[in-house]
Amino acid sequence: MNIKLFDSELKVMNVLWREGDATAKHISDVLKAEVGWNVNTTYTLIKRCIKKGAIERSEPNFMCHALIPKEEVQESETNELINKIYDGSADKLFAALLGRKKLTAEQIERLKQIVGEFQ
Amino acid sequence: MSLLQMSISGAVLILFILFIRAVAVNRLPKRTFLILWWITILRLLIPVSVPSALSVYSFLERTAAHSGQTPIGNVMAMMQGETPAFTGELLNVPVSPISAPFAIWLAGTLFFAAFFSISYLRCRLEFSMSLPVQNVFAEKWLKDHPLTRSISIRQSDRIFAPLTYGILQPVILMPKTTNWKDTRQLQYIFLYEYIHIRRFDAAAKLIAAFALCVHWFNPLVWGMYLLFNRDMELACDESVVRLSGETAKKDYALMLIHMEAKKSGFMPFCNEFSKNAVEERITAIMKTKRPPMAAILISCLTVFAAISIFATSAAAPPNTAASHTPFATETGTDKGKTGADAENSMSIIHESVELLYYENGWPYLHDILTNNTDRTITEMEYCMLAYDEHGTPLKLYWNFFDSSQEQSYDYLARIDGLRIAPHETADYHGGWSLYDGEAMENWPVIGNGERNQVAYSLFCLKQVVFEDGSTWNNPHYSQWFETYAGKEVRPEELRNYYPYRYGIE
Repeated sequence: MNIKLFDSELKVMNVLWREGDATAKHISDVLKAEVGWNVNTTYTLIKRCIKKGAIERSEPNFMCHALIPKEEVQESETNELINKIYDGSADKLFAALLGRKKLTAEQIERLKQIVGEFQ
Repeated sequence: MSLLQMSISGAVLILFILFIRAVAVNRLPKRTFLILWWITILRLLIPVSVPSALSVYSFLERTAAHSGQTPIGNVMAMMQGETPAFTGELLNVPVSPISAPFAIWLAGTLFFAAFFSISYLRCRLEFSMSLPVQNVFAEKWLKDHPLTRSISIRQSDRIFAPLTYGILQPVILMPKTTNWKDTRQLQYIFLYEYIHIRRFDAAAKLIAAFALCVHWFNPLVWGMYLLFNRDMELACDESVVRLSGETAKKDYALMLIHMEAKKSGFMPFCNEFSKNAVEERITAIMKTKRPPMAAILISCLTVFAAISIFATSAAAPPNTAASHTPFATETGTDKGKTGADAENSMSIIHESVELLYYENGWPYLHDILTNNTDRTITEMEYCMLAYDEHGTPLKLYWNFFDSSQEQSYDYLARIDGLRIAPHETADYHGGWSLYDGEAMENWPVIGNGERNQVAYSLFCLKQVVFEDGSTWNNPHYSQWFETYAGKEVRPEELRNYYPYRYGIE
């Protein structure tokens, strides 16, 4: 088993590891107090964890059960999901506006040169 | 003002700003460009024309008049003539329910609106999953920089560089990789984002995106959108450097490069546009200095020029009343242009209305009408006005067969049973009979029985009914009526009034 989770997803898992099985409502209450997420944010994250196979959902009351122990989880390497978020074609433009584009090594060298020139 | 007119005058303004930007981006305070872009956005979104004698459009108008061309009531109308694909239909966006160009425009607008909304919401969703930050320096910094809106600082493992989101509840989002011990760097980052927040740049980006959605067909508006976003960054950098002192320039520039370098560590692909943008940014930072008085003056002048010359429309020429302009546009431009363009749009033309006499000397008004639509005209309603040779309006017994009828300046006639086929010019015998106390000796005397004074007559269609049952109502009718009914008109204008063209969409 090799599940990669983001910080935000780990926060959700932490609640389950700490308190055992809990309803989605309970998780969202805890996280509301802890990190200030609203219900939708927490539910979205629970759904993502379910999709990744880290949480199992059972009825009634949207009971959540952690499928993996804390030790098995490793932190995700950021760039994979960054690709997902920012590299989707629709988001490229937005990303460009936010100024989140990457430079090559030569370009960085050139920029440092510019700074040097104005010294 | 139509959407296309707004887009074109916006485009002229953008070209002006592009020029100023190319020449003096690092010589003028960056705020100048933000103000200029705001003027452009307002021009693009607010359909009000502000007449100004200084306007470039007034100038064009005068030049045209001097060089002996057809008088142009409105340069915009002329420019539209050059792009027939968009003409007419787009102009009538609010009136015509669904024409092809309107449908294309609407589809594009909805597409881009959906595109931006989805990207925006996706980013917001990701950002909302960020985690709070417990950091003494951050908390102290926030306390030292209060704002009516409360700012919070959060962190996320899904971004590479700091950013800000939220308009009413702004959040500074830091990447997980932030080095919280480097307070110097943190100070620059917070200050930079703080200035963005204080200036409501997040809202500005949304408004600019809205303008882009509406004007998506205008490539210059895309340019404006990108540069406006860039100039917000530049203006922000400028403030950071000014607030942190001249010596901070190098530090700050190197920090930005360092952050860019970190980003590229993960995703080594380059982007030409962005490369130039970053280079421009770094250069701008290094060139930042307290602007000399001259730069501030030039900056103010530029803004003033942009407002008074490009953001306004032509002033009404001094001798003719302002209300004449719409008609001058309609008749003037179309008279000047024949052939292809006139054929492209459908129209009905009043070729002429003349005073003629029957063999017995009884006067009548003879009108000739051309049907340039694709449907047969079966019925029409039009208003008639009469003037003497000096252009004085005349009160007539228009319907003198009916002795109970009063005198009036205007008379609304409705004729049915017509058959004017598409592209037919209906020239018939006879016309509208007028009373003439001298010529009509055997006729019962009406009024004081004086002879006919009419020298000119103006006809204006109010409504046309076609064979297929559809009708066309002249949208300019009431304007026409107000302009001419009972009013003195120069004989020269009366002589040159025809052909009068009615554009039909």
